[in-house]
Amino acid sequence: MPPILEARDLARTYRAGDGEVRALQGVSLAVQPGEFVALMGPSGSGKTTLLQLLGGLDRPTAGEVVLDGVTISSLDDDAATKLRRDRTGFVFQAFNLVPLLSARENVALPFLLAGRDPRDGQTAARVDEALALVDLAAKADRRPDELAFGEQQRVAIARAIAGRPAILFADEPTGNLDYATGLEIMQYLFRSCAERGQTVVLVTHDAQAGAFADRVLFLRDGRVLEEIRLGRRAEHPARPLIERLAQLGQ
Amino acid sequence: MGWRWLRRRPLRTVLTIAGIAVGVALVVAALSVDAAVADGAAGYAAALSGRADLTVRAFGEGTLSAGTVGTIAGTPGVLETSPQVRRPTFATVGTTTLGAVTVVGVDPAADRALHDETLASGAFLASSDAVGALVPLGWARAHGLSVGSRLSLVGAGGEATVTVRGLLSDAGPALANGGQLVYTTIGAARSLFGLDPGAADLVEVRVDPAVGVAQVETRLGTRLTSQPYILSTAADAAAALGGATRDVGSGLLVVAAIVLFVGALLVSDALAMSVGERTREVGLLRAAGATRGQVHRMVLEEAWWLGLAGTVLGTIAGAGVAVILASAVGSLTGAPVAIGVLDPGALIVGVLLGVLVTLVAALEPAWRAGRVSPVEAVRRGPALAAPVPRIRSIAVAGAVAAVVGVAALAAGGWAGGAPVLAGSGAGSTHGTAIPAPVAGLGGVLAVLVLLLTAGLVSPLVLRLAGWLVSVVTLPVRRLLRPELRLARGALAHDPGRIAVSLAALGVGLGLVVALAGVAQGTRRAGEAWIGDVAPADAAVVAISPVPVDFGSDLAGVAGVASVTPVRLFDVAIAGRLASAMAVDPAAYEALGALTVEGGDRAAAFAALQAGGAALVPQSVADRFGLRTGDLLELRTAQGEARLRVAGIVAHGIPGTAGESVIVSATDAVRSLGIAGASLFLVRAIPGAASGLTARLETAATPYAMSVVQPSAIGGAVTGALDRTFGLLDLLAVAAVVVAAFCIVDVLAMDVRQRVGELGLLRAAGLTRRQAWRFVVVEAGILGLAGALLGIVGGVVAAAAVLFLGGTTGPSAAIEVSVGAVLVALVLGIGGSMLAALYPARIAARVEVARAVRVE
Ligand SMILES: Nc1ncnc2c1ncn2[C@@H]1O[C@H](COP(=O)(O)OP(=O)(O)OP(=O)(O)O)[C@@H](O)[C@H]1O
Ligand SMILES: [Mg+2]
Repeated sequence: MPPILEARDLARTYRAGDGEVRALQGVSLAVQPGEFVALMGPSGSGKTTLLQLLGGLDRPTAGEVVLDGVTISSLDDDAATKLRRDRTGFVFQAFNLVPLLSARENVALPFLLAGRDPRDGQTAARVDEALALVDLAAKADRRPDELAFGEQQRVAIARAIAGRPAILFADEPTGNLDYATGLEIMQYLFRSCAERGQTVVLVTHDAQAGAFADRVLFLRDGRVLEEIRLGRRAEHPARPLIERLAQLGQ
Repeated sequence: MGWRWLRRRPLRTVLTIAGIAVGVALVVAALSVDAAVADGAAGYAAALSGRADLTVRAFGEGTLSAGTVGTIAGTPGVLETSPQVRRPTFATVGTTTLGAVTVVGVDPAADRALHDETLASGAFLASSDAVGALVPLGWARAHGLSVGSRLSLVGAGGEATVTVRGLLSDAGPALANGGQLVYTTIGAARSLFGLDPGAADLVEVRVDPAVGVAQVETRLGTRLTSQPYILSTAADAAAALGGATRDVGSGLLVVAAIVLFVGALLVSDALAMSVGERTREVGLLRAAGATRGQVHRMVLEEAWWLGLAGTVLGTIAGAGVAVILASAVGSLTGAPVAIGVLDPGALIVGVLLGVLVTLVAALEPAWRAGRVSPVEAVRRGPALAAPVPRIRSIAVAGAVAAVVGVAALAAGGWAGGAPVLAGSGAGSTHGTAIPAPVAGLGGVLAVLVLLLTAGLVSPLVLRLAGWLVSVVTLPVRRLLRPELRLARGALAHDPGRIAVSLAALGVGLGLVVALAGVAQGTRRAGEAWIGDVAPADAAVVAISPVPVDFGSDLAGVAGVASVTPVRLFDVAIAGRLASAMAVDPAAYEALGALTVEGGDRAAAFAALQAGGAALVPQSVADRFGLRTGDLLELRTAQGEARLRVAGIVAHGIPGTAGESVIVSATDAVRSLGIAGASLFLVRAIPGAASGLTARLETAATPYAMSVVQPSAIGGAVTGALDRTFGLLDLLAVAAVVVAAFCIVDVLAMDVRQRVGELGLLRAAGLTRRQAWRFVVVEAGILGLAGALLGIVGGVVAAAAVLFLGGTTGPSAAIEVSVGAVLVALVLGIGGSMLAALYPARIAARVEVARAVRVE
């Protein structure tokens, strides 16, 4: 089966003041459909940079990204934006929701941006289905500031999967949450993967979260240092991963 | 510290400073222009009067006799006198008419003893010159006249031709009557108008300073017993002129108040935003030991820099604006206005206001910053910038409004402007009060109240506008759905902040609508008025009264159905100057003239016909407290009459001192010694109106009469109105421009604040173009809401002005002009969408990757 996401020799250099920061220096990877991949590594290792390049939020200095058969890294801004809208979903660490829209409207956002009527039968059904998956059907009409942080993140997950995207990207979705709530969020992410075959690429430095992945890519100084295959499991104990990471000097 | 914070948010800082700068600039400009206008008016009046302290004028249409002129000259304390003949007439060159002019007949030596006239070319007149004339340079240029040109003047007994001997520089007395003057020797003027030798229309008097004007006035009172006269002083003339031009400054103050108000809100906004953003930073400082007072001072220091920068820039810009405005005001009012050195008072008020308003606006954010607890520094999770509660914005708005209002009051008091609610009538020779809707400090306060009200109702109006836009764009719904939804959401999200720019826009547009409404209402009322008192197809006007029989010649002209003679004259009522008209009641009634208020028209005319009765216009009845059945005492130079008020009529023909009291020709001749006709109202046979004017002219010219449209009888009224409203329109447009600027400000700040949100939307698939349209649509909704507010508010305000301010009475019904409504819509929606272009660009250029990174 061809990979649904492929990166070849990605490099990204930031200009900072007079100097340059080489955030990524030659990263290649491939993600299979339905796979759950975690990107881990110390702070500043380039995780967020990589995720943004993979999701078409940013353009690489060198190399290319092929998402679902389209070379997103060479598209113009408009085309990349539409590809993001139609084929990807994003969950960030915080500020995931548009404060002026209700939870339901936030979930329906990609449809709204595509010019579709969120109340239209088929669209509404998809939105409801996504909300049900994160168990938030009852709070669908609340505004973001009327929801707990954990609930806000669940709404963000619902939005990211509502359009049945090719890939869901998540950048430290549990970073702002306490242990229990973080675990809950990971379970919902995993559920979308297990029940709907959703491909997920997750950035985290929390081994507890990383343990949900089928495969962990460990980054350091803008390079993939190590690949850890965990495989699909029903239980997700963090200990084995923590031990492996410790061996890497983490 | 405050300074560094400001540097970190350069765009917001610049926008805020600009907001204050524009406000301060307008205050400085308004006050400077006001001062310059007052100086200009005083200077103009002084130039007109020259060294003359007093003017003695003949009362009514008579002249001061040679005896009276001699008595004045011989009164102790009078140093010099200059008798003048001063009368309106028409001038022609060959067959081309140069229009209305005033002939000023002077004794050249006496005149130059009182005035410093200078010649642009040619020579002064010799006392014996019977056919020479001087004309002002500007007027001469306009009509292609030069030294040696000959022109004809229409006189009482026919035309007289004079030769231009010199051109007067356009200064001093040569500016009177818009420069439409022809100076001749007094002898030449007397023979032109058929006056007795030695007679004069007025005498200018220079008083011995040791004796004093008041003393001379008293002495003249005891000595001039043979004929009635009117005395006026140079100070009176200056006051009348000052009143006419003061409205301009007040109007500017209104606009300045709006701008400062919005500027203050911008300051409050910017500071609240940065306090919100820096919650964690402030918490950290508090944890590290900063006291509440220190935090307060930090925010106030930030405000201080903002206020100082805005004030300095504003003062500089204000000087420039003042120069531009002064020339605009000068060309609109005809009075010379020049900005020399900037008025120091204006500078002080501008600087104080700028800094004060900024600091007041900073109080609330400072207080909020002080309440940030040290715990914030260590709290996990995003420091959510709490949405600004409505109450806060409204309270701030109220406080700022109060400060600005009080400051404006103080400034106005300093500027020496007593509240002027209605144009003092100085602009109109017919004594009709022109409602000047936004003039004066009452206006400033009214506008502030309007701003607050508009702010309070704005959330509702916004919702309505959003809904309207959705409905209107139904056909393109698929295209605009996301933009519309986001824009409506954004507008509903923070109603307090949006309310400010909305209120400013609404008030600006409201001014446009209100002014148009008042102007149109007043003009309509004027037309209806003339239609009521002079229901004729043409009017034949005489310069000085002619025998009534002349009318029979006019009646013989082909196509004429009827000719009604009217005699206009001055009377004194209770010692005050008023106007009156004498008519043949039966003929006037047959014309269909006059609306009798709440009475029986036939009975009123019957009483007039029977004699001993008068019909009194509403405005005159109000002025003198008259009612139907009261006794009215009229006095003229030749006699007096006690007449019963037979009815109150809506209007009379406008005369030199307001609307005319109507009496029968018989009473006028018998008791008041007034005979003849000053105008003839001509009715055409239906269908024979074409060419009538030409035929009438042929018949009228031998009698030195001219044919005019009936509306021209009140012509000066319309002219003065046009000038006033032209000026006010200018102010309204200025207000709208300023409101548009506020919208740029608010939207740009909004976009900046929403970078994170925009980044999120862009990540989720909002294209650059959609982001751009989102902001523009938001502005469009804002503009529509502003226009709705403005239209409703403007109509209400116009109605209020017409109802309260107009002596034109209840007949000046407010009319909603479709044009004004359209202009408001186009200006509002177009203006604010235009204003949104820059913020929209910022929104479209947000970098997604950077925007979604958590700070
Ligand atoms: N806009 C930028 N300009 C300059 N340097 C940047 C920029 N964004 C990121 N960097 C630098 O690039 C490197 C990689 O950053 P990145 O955010 O990808 O790291 P990360 O692995 O996500 O770290 P963290 O775990 O702290 O989120 C860092 O050294 C960072 O300082
Ligand atoms: Mg990161």
